[in-house]
Amino acid sequence: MRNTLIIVCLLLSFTAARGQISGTIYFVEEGEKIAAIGANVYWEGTEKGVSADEKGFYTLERVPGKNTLVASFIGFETQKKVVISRMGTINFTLKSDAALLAEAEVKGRAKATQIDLKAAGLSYRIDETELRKAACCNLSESFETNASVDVAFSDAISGTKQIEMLGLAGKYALIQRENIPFVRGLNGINGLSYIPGPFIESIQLTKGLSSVINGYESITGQINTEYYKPETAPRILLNVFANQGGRSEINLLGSYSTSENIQHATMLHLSAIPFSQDRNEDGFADITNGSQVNLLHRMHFHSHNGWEGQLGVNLVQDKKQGGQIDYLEQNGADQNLFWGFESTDERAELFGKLGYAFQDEVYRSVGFIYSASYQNRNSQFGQRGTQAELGNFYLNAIFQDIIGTSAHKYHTGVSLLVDDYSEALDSVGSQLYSHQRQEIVPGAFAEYSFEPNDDFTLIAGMRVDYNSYFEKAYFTPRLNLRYAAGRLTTFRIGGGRGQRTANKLAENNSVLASSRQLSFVNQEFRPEVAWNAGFSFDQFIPLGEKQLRYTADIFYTWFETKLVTDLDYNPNAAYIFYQQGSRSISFMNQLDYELIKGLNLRLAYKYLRSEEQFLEGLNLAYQIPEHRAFLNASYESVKKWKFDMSVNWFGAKRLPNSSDSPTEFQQREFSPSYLTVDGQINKEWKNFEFFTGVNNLFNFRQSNPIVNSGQAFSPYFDSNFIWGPIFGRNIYVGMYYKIPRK
Amino acid sequence: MKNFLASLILLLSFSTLMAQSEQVNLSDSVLVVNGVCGMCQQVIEKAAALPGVEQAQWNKDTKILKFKYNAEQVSIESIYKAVAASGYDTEFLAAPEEAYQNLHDCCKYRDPAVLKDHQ
Repeated sequence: MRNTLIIVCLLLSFTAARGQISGTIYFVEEGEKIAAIGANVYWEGTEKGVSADEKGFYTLERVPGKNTLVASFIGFETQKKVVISRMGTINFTLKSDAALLAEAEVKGRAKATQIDLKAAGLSYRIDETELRKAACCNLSESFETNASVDVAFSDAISGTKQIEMLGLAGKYALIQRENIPFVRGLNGINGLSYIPGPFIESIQLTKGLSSVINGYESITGQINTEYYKPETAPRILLNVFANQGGRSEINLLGSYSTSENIQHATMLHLSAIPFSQDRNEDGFADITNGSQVNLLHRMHFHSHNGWEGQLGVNLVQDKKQGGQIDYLEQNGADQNLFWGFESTDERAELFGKLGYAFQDEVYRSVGFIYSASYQNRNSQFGQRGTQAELGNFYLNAIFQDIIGTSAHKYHTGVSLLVDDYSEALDSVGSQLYSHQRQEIVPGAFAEYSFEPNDDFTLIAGMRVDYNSYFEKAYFTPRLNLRYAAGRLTTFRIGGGRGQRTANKLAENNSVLASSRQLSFVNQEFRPEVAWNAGFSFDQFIPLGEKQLRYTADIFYTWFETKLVTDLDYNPNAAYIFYQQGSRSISFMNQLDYELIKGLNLRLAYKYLRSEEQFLEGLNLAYQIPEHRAFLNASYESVKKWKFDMSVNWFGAKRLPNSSDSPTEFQQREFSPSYLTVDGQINKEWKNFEFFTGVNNLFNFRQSNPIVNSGQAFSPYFDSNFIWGPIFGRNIYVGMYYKIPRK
Repeated sequence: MKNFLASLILLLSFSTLMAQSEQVNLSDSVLVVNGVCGMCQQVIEKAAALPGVEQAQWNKDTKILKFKYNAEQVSIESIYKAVAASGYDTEFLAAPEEAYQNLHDCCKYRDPAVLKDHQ
């Protein structure tokens, strides 16, 4: 009987091996099909694959148990086909990513609420896979595998992480949650930490000036985060996380529908750092402790007559505590004896979208995006306290259509922004500074895009906004051009104007983590205005079986008005004033290559020259390294093991001038250059994904991040000389459990 | 080996017996055909209904086309070729590209996104 079994097995494997699928793979360019030489085709979940020959032709043997064929090529959409046949011809037609973006815009239009995708700007899409490479914890960490955005600490006590783009602080980028400005105003510094990583479905990152549709506030770039939608969220997603720093997190997502047309998603984030550690023994906590509760509920409704809407609510409470370990260990310790840091943020937001897609005109739609929020923050920095409040209302109404053919499209609409803001600073009972203002900004915009074919895009936009506080109308012109020379080369050029209103105190909170006196040189408020221009070049270079992708971009930003914080002039003061002429040049080179199947490499070098117009003239901005390099290697095996490693190298950063301080408190002019290494391993089973990793593997630390830490209430106590990691090596573990949608 | 031969003989004689019992010489057979919806079902069953084929029934969940056929009148090969020509992949042969492209968008069963929509 054993023999029979062997014969049957032999017979089966023989017939299976005989199966063979062949076909031709094409690229579509300007509606014409050309042979996709070198495109890869393989059976999904296996390593059985081939490359198409010079006619785009391929032949591939069947693999038992596998029935999905995948065809792919860098720069083109990956296409899958389910094939059950033993023999036959299966052809593929691959569309370029650029064409796909244009198509996505059309699809987005049909959905009416997702409106914008700009192929004309230098945009990156960071999807779930990339996000999982940086497991912890919120939006700021999501950029650890991306060379375009840097993450830096603002001071050595409050632990606030800031992102930087093009050598400028994150506040000059427009950071949105689903096209609603999110990280702005009072939320401008901490807002990133209110976007928990597991809520995010994808991120679109655009360098340089983007569309005028979403407002005038973006200067260095636009970051849009898309959360899970009720239609796309898993039925249940559970994520837990813990690290050596004491941070523990639970994230829970669920989606369900209450009727055929109404779908819901609920997301909850709970995190806590219950205790503080002082590894460098300077008497101050290395990382703040605290907790965050972040709850989001959203619902989407569809009707059959073209209307579609969504409504959501988001509640956040965030508490942080730091400062001297003695302060933290004695609950309710005297703030005049021990230097303590406390901060509580509360934020509530109601947001929604409403869209209508015209039934007969596929390109015509109208959408409304709105949000109303309230946030307050009470902070204590040693003996100084701040209170701030922001009530915000945002409405954007967008109409889009084509002129004649789909080569000519336009968006036009009106917007309304209301900011009701107040901030105050006190010290031991007496008020040092207070400010209150209301800005009501009605605006109108129009944007025209011309796309005669897949190779060329022009987007020209203009908006005008009247600001009730400054009693003035502001014009914001922007232009983006894209030209693809053949299939392998793309050029982009763009530029224009951006503007925002800075909050003098809230944006300088980190200076309060020192003994410096704050000096607001200008009594009045002015808008910050900047002009930005950029050029980028994208080239695919065939190398071996794969293609090497080279991207170079250069951006120049010049400030007509910028709020500058000068820490050089006097070691015991911070001067805060408006100045013209601050500028930044960013030049980045990036190489991407898939060395062997599953192993992707990314190498980047960035030159940043960010200069600010200080009291004593133009000088380098603090904490921005002039040279920066980045290497990322990630490997994904067929069995769903993922390995990821990043090496970050930071060149010298300028520190505030301390030559007027007593010798013992003098600091170096420039930080030393240093290197950090992060690594992570993921393993996916059916519904489980487990990960573990380490940040700062070689335990590199800045030894004395706080100047004069022994005498926190004396002059020269300062935590603004931070340039490197404080805590050192940090090991973490976590997992995801996911029940997918049916 | 003896056992094997014995069982083979048994099997062969059994099937001959079965064939002899069928008075009109109709054989039952099945064919795996890919497809997704009710519209697919109509096209597949119509394509399979060659002269000599009876009671062709396709199930969209199991992807199995059941039918009875008269082996003297029609061959399995001509049946699966006819189904493939109508635009549907069978276990033996994939449908020609042109025929597949002519299917309605909701029937594009090779597309994983379409499959998902029908689940």
